[in-house]
Amino acid sequence: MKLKNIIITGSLAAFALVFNMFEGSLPMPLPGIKLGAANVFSLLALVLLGVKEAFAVTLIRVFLAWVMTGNWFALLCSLAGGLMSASVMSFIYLKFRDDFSLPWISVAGAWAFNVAQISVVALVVNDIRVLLYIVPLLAAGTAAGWAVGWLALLLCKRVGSLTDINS
Amino acid sequence: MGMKCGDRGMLKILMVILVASSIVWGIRFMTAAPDVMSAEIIQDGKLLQRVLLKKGDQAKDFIIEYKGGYNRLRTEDGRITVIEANCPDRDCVKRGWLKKPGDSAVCLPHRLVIRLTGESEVDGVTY
Repeated sequence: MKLKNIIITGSLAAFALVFNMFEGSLPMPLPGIKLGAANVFSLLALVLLGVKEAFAVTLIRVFLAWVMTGNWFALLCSLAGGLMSASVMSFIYLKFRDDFSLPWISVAGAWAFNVAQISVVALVVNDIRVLLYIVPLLAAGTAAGWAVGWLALLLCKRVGSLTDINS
Repeated sequence: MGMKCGDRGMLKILMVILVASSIVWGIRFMTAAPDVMSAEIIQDGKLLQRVLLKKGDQAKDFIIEYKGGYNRLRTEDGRITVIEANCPDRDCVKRGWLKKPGDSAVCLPHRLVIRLTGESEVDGVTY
């Protein structure tokens, strides 16, 4: 990893953490539903730098958010969700980039996040019927995922040139 | 911004999800909550109690403990909520009142699930 990539990765992770923490203080209509604005920066890392960096931004953000809140259960959910979402988005971006636009790649990531998140909840409380909660999660996740992907696309166009400069 | 073929594929999946869920949601919204229901209190996958909920009931609190933690539940007028808890996230408290069959609240740290069912018979376990 080039020094410049490391620096950009670190900055993106820092941005992601700030948005993550800010979002945590916003009231939400139902538990487990959030905007996921931190994912903007994982997407940016994926597009501007690569898969490794996208995972780095996600993992650093999830870990630091846990250090700051100390909530084990939020860690479990966001770790499973973040890994699943980063994997799905990376896979689509690498293999089917021509068939999907960024907002929809982000929606796919949101769906993956929701599936992992509710699976962790079902495992922890040992109750399979909790999985039905996937329906409102997916509905909210789609809207939030699309908005986040659209934002990431906009940012990619604005800051994309930063990484093009050979140095 | 034109949609690509993968985007359209995902949109189709989304349509199916939305239609299915809005039908389910619509039915739930249209049907009034029955006068008598019961709430299942499930901890770590095991049914602890079944609490009868009746329209017009007085407020009544009870506590479910879990390894030094607790959730204080309140039943009132045919509905139930977690009124207070000492878990780190308080998601169960934020969930608010459960009013209709199928509604549920989860407290992850205390491995607690509260779920409303339409059943009006309480057998064996009461409080």
